[in-house]
Amino acid sequence: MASIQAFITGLSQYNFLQTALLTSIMVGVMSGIVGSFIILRGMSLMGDAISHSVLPGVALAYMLGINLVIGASVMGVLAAVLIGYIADRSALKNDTAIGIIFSAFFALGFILISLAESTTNLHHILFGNVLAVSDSDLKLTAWILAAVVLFVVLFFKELLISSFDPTFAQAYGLKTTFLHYGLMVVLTLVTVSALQTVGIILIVAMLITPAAVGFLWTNSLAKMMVIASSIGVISAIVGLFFSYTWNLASGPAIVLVAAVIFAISFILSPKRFGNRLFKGGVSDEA
Amino acid sequence: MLAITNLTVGYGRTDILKGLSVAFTPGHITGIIGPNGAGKSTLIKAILNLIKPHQGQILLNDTPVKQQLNQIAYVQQRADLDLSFPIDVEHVVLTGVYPQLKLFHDPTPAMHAAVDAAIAQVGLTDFKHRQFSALSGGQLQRVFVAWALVQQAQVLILDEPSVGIDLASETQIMTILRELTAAGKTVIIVHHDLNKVTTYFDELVILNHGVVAAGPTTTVFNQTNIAQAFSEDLGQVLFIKEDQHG
Repeated sequence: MASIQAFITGLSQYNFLQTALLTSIMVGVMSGIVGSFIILRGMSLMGDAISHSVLPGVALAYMLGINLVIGASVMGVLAAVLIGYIADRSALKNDTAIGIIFSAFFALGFILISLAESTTNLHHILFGNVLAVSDSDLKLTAWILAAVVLFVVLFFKELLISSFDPTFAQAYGLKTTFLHYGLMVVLTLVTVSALQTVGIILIVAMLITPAAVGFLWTNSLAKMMVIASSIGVISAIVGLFFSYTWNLASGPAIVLVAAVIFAISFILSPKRFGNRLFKGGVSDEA
Repeated sequence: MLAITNLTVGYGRTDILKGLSVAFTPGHITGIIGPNGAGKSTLIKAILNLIKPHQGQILLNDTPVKQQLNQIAYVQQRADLDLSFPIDVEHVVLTGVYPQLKLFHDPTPAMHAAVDAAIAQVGLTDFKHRQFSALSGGQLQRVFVAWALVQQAQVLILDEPSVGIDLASETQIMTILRELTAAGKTVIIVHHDLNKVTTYFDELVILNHGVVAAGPTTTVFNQTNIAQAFSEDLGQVLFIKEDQHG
């Protein structure tokens, strides 16, 4: 109890802690929303790949002094395009293309960062350093959250149908490729805002774990996104509390809280394996 | 009338169907049968404009189908869908009106009413809020029929609708399809169970990389055509058995 009080006192005293908390909460919300589509489209690996592929963009942005969002988005989308190109134009499977591209991008990013010799700490980009979030970072995150929410609200039915029944979506003339790359852009934006809260390596956990909890508890996409976002927020607050109290790295602390929530959900969930619902299986009476 | 003329289509350089011409007439249930790999799915994908024909025309009432894709409702095989998707019966059926909606528009009250009516027509009103994956095979297939109904398309294409479903659902679905053809719609069913061909289909297209035979089921469904499309053995087994039973 004393530590909770200390955390609350800290919040009222330190501006950096307030900024950290607000940013983490916003990242929790947006990763829950985007993550729901990522897992329903079977793109968990793709989410991991795109977030890693953002690294050279971040490095270039620091080196050339351009906007971080632009650098990251260009690299994220370039990686998505290259993965799509290799998978479409060869007999190689999608996950093979993903493995080749994202490791190459990540390696390039690593070298660029070390070449830059800037004050930028690689460790902080990889695992986050939420206590160093500036006010301009906070503003950027707020803008990105607004963009993500707008994207999902405007294209909700298109995102739903292209995730649920891509054949039908394509057959009635929906631009499914456009939506795919739109989602990839949104994914890179989320990664950019998560750079400082959980970092590049662990953002995939914030995308997938809360969304998986949402999936286990509801039969409605909208509700799944609400649950996922809430879990993202709770993980952010509790994780930050542990991080502040015991001086732990904030990103891993947030991710571990999300993982514990998933573990509890998994045990209690109506959709656990063994239950035919979870496999999506159907028992035919014929 | 859905008229396909001289269609050549396939993947990459391999042609699955060559120079195929066939017409589907309104007011009839037409079955498409053929061995595995005969090009049944390819034909449907070509009609839906999911793969580009190398050659040939697909016209619906003298206008290219690809300009009026919302006039074709396609019920794919259940196995092709993600049955674990978090969505209930009502919302699955509701996606059937999406082709009629512009970007940034929500379904109208009239559309919601049409969805309710379609769900009632297939007898699933009590299951409206049931998770999609918690249905039996027969109930699921009825959901898809309701989904096809709200699309108000002129042509309905169903891919293997009777696989793994109960007899009651099958009968109910066939009754609804009969009502649709009576109202002047064109119904096309890709089918694998040769036993029910004469019961269900007015017209039949036997396919094997091209049309082996097409026309009224009573004249087309015979030993020669089945032997040619499938195998001599199957032709014999199927029709000798029928002779013995009278």
